[in-house]
Parts: sequence; C-alpha cells; structure tokens
Amino acid sequence: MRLLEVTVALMVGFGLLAVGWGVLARSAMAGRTLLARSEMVEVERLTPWVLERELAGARPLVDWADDPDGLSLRVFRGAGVRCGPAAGADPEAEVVVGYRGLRQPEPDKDSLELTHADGRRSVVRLASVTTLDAGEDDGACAPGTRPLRLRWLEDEAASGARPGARVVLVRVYERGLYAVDDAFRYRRGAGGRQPLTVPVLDPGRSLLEAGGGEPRLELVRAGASGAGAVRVRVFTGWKP
Amino acid sequence: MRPAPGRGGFVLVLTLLLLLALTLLAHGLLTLAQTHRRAGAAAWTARARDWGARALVVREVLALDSLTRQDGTRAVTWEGGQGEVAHRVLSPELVLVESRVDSAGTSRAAGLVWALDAAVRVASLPRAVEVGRWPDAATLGRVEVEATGVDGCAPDTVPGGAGRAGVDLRDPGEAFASGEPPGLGLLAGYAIAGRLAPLPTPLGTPSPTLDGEACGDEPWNWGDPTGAVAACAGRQAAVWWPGDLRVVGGVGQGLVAVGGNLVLDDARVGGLLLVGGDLVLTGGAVLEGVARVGGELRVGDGAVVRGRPCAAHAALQAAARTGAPLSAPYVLPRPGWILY
Repeated sequence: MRLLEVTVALMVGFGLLAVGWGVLARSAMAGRTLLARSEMVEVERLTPWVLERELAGARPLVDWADDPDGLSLRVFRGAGVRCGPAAGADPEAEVVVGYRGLRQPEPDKDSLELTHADGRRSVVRLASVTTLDAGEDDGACAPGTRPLRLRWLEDEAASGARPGARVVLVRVYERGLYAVDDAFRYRRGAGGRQPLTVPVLDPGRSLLEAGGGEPRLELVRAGASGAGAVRVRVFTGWKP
Repeated sequence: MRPAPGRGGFVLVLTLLLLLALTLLAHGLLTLAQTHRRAGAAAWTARARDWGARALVVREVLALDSLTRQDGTRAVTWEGGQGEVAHRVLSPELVLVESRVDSAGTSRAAGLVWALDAAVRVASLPRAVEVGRWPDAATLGRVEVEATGVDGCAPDTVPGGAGRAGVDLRDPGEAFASGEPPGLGLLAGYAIAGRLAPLPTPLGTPSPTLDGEACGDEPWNWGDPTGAVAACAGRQAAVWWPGDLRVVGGVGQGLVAVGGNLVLDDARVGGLLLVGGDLVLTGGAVLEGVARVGGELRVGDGAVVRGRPCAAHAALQAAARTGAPLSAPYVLPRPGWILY
C-alpha cells in the first residue's frame, strides 16, 4: 500500500505541477503582453498630446516642416509681457518682462520673437538673461510671473519691425526636432535625440511626417504582425 | 491517504505556492490596469483643459465689439471647472487675452488681439503723402508744407502731428498686391476694402445731398467739408473702388480706398486716401488730408495737397464705427496662441 500511495501522490503531484506551471506560464505571458500593450497605449497617448501642444499656434511649413529625421519646428518655450524698461537700458535691445513658460530662457539655445507696439514682429537672437530680485521690477510685472531682463542681439536679416517701436511682448523659441524610431524622441538644437517614451516601436514602420500641413503620425509596435499600424490624428488647431 | 502524523504533504505546499504566485500576478495586472485607467483619465482631462483654455480665449475674442483698453481679470466657469479671463493692454492697438482653466491641474492660453486705433494709425503716418515713387519737383512744390499739427483736432485725438506735411517714400518692405489699396497697420488693403461700401461707378461727382432734412445716404454723398450743407458737415464717406476711379468736381470727405489710380479733377476732397496706383490731382483739385499712394503722386498746376492729419483722423474714426468697422478686433495669425 505504501508504494501505491507514493505512486498516486507523485502522479497527482506532477499533474498539479504541470497544470500549475502551465497556468503560471500563460499568466506570465499574458502579463508581458499586457505590459507591452500598455506601454504602447502610453506611447499612443503621449505622442499626439505632446505634438498637439507643441504645434498649437505654429504655422505649418513655416514654423514646422518635414526633416529627413522627423518633424523640425520652432518650439515655443515661454512668453513675457513687458513690465517696463530696465534702468539705464537700451530700449532698442533690452526689456524687462514678466515671464511665464516651461523653462527659463537660455542665450545659447533660444531665439526671441519680439512683438512691437504697432503689432509688427521681429526675430532676434537672445544675448543675455538676468533674473530680477524681488522688488526690482517695481511691482510692474503681473503676479505669478518671473521678472526677467532680456537683452538681445539685433538680427538685421530677420528684423521686421520699424526701429524705435516699443517691444511689448517677447516670445521665446528653441529649434527642435521630433522623431519616431523605436521610441518617440525629441532633439533640441544640434544635440542628441532623447527618448520621451519607452522604446516599444518598430523603427522601420513607424513614422512622423509634416504631411503638407497636417502631421502624419503612424505608430507600429515592435513585433506586431501584419497591418499593426496605429494612425494617430494630431489636432494642430490651425486651419490656414 | 492521510499522512502519518508529523509528515507534511508536499502537494498542499505546492498548491499554496501556486495560488500565491497567481495572486501576486493578478494583483500586478490589476494595479497596472488601474494605473492605466488613471493615466488615461488624466491625459483626457489635461487635453480637455487645454482646449477649454483655448475655447475661453476664442469665446472672449468673439464677444469683443471693440478692444477693452483696460487691464482686467474676471472669473469664469467652464464645464470642466473654474477659470479666469484676463485682458492685458500692451499698446493702444494690442491686447493680450489670457485664460486660465483649473481642473485637476492648470492650463493657460492666450491670444494676441489687434484692433485699429484711428489716432495711432494717423500718428504713425510720417508725412501728408506716402508714395511708391518719388514725385517731380513741380508736384513737390504743390504739397503744402505747413505746420498742420493738431489744429482742428480734438485735443486728445492725434498726438504729434507736427511736421506731417510733405512727401515721403513708403517703406519698401511693405508690399501689397496689384489692384489693392495700401493697408493700415496690420490691416491689409483687401481687408480694408472688404469693410467699406463699394462705389457704384468708376466716375462721379461727390456732392452733399439731403434726404428730407437729414443728410442723404447715397454712395457719392461724401459729406460737406465746406459746411454749406450743415446737415452733411459731419458725414464722412467710407468707400472703395477696385480699379481706376475718377472724381470730377464736387466736394466731399472721408476714407476713400482705390485699387488702381485715383484722379481728382477739380474736386475738393478731405480725409484719408488709400490709393493702390497713382494719385493725380488736376485742374483746381484740392486734397486736404493724408494719402498713402502705391505709385506716384502728380499734382497739376492749380491743384494742391494740404496735409491735414485731423481730417484723416476724422475720416478714419468715422470708418472705424461703420457697420463693418475697421476697428473690429481680430486675433493675430501668430501667436495667435500661447500655451503655457
């Protein structure tokens, strides 16, 4: 009887082990698949949202256009409303603004678009940024904004304003490039491309193009079989 | 098959371990699903908030009959939450309309709105006549150089009018299409023309006419700068013609936009003239006002141009108040949008 008991116990045990192992393996596979799909969903969610924010208000084929590597654009990073002239400042090349934006302007990365009192605009290179201490702006800047003194270099080639017209609004832009390969990536200036999402995309089949005014974004999960492309609509909010 | 006391069954242990592993896995998947649900909802909320902020600016701008030239902030309700709309006056013609929406975070948007201001526009014109090609000496001699200043204007209307008489070349950077009058500020010529009443014929004589006791409303009734017909003294024309226009005799005042050449033949006209082609004064023609000319200015013997910014200001101010007002605000194509 003892041998029979052992045999039966072993058979039942191995049977249970096999079933359990199978269930565990399938569950783990399902978990991995779900994780991969959830990462893909995250990419599908994040990518158009970022592009929509960045392209809002930008003019197709003027502010953004096709690039062999992706979508090249002038990226808005912040804006400052004039609070007043800096003490002793050259009004042609300097202004104090109440700044609000994604980050502080940086001279080696950013250009400025100046809006003058007559409505005309000009583009200049940012020369220096000085953060004013509390009270230095004489309270003229709007609450919640950061008082900055911005100084720029006149860029004659890009200038579009009449000389002497007072600057009333400054917008800060950087040159950037969005691309899709194994991940959704961003490149600032001439730097390296940094991933904004996890690398779950098929670089050969995913694409991001300017598409003649309406961005074309197709995301394909790596390893997806057949026509697994997800075409994502990007609302730019701009209808020329 | 009960095990002997003191000896454990491994099947039970194995089953328990398996159940534990499955429980952990299920818990992980549940957590993942919940995280996704929350992330999806947050992304949706953020996107709705962004569009809500933009929609608030659009709603505000569409509701503007004219620019509110005063800083101000007011609270608004939005279907997704609370927010506020602020007006920031940047210059007499520029206002930044900002919105903020709070709903599980904050989204901001802003639109830069421009609207023509008659005083600023007239003050920005450097001379009595701006031309595309420099006129001959005889014509220059017939553009009266007088210190017109702000004489005749209300004290608070046209700043810095002195030295306005004379002729200047237009800014070569300012281009406009052939057959289109020059623009004013950010208003292109075609946009101005679209807001003015078209003349019925390319040839006519402006004269003040009465409709009963009131001043008439005919297209060729351009008011009466002489004051002879008192009821029409305050009437200002706001008219345009797409091609060449010939004005023969008569008197009138107002804003006249012409796509081609404008010939004033023995006519006395005051106000602001926007001429895409040449401006020609013949006979005893008199222009009292300001003109922007795409081509050339020719003033014949006996004709004269008297630079009068106040007349131009009165004409522009009247045109800014007509049915399709020149001063209607609009969002600049760019930014137009600022998103924070």
